[in-house]
Amino acid sequence: MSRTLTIALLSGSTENDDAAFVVNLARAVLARGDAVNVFLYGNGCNLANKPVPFDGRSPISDALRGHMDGFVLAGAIEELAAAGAKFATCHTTEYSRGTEGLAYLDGVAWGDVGNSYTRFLMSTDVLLTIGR
Amino acid sequence: MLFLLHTSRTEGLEELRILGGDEDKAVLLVGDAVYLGLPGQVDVFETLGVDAVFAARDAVSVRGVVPAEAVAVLGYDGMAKLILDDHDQVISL
Repeated sequence: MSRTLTIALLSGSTENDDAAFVVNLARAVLARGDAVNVFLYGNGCNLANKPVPFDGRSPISDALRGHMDGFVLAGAIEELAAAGAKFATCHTTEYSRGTEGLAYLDGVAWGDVGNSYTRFLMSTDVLLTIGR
Repeated sequence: MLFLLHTSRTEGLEELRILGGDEDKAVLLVGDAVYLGLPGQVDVFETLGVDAVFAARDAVSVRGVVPAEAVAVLGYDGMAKLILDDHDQVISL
């Protein structure tokens, strides 16, 4: 019988490897045929939005850009969502960061604790809280 | 009971003993928490009544550290099994 893992992610992508761990764990869970929910809370909500390309001159070297690209999880999140992972944000934490109105990655939904997170909890077998 | 740790903070580790009670206890170290699995650090888990210590392979590798011999290093498949199959309760601290 399929099991469900819910993860409340509180970290963004660059300050530490919390978000990368969550993405990789979610991938492994889906590969087993199980289900995964990710609630993007606090700084985790910084992962929710479509990247906005910068057209101006950037002094970032190719080497540094290649290094930083390792922290960009947008593509991985969209892949996970397409594979069945459910992603929802906490819109209040987005509001406080001024990002509530930005376009979401494909498969990421505007959400809240009272509905989105509660629905995740009601159907989950395991809950992890990752981040700081 | 499985405890998942993702920071190297040692404050609050006593919670493992309190929350775990008499249950069999295991610890999974991910992210910076893998530093707690190094020789000289890992002994704290034995004093807390922890029976098994696991560490995330990628977190160990990217930090270039070598966990104590008693620490079992797992990939994501192993961690998913540990979290979803092997324990009745999983607590992240």
